Amino acid sequence: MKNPIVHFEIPADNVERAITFYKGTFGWNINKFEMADGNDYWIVQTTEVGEDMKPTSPGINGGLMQRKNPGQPFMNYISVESVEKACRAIAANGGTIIMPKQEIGKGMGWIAAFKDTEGNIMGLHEEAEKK
Amino acid sequence: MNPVVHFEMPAENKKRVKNFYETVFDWKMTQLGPDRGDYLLAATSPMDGNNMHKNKGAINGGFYPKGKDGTVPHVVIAVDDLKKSMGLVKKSGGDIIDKPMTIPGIGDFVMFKDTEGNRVGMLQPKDM
Repeated sequence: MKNPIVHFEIPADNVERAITFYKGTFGWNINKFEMADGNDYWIVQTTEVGEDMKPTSPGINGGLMQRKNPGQPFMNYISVESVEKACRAIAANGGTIIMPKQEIGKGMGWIAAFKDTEGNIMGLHEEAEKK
Repeated sequence: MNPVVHFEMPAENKKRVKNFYETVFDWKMTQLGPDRGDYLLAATSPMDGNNMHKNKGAINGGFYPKGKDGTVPHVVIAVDDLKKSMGLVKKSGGDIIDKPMTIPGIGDFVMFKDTEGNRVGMLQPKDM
């Protein structure tokens, strides 16, 4: 096993309302982050992290974003060594790529999205090479 | 902070989805019996002898039959006190879906809707 689920993404019609809800209900830390493409993204911390921003306690962190289309679902990300290789394996095994590989910028690596055989939408993430 | 500790996804065909995630992502899939809701466990990251993740920052999950229990993936948040958190969900503008259920050996579980209409699970793990 080397392709774990490492990140989740919450879509929100009203970002401020969602932030208030998750902070108030679960005590999460939610901080705005400007993406390389100029879009806003909110980093959602549900578990303690170290200096490298990686979790030091059980659980994963995620993100929150403005919902871009009415059907945009909650999405989880799988960490992979190579997005390209994973996309080929997905297509060969009955899945569908719905968002081809794209760079997220600021040295944060690459992502893609796919539908599994059951119609579930998930994300892929490949880390940028460590310098 | 109450961490996100688990994910769940619906599946129409358990054999097909098991094969897909085993082959594509090398996950370890374990099919439980009807007494456990025909749940298909998905381990995405290695565990130690105490069922804790060897590598931090990863979660496992499972697949349930697509239908009345849901049609889209969701995550599960671990809480210390389910009743208290259910109260907070309602107070903060969310909705509790269904009644809480006890999952033998695991803990008490309930689904809720956040303010954006997303379905999310909450679990008070046993022995907390």
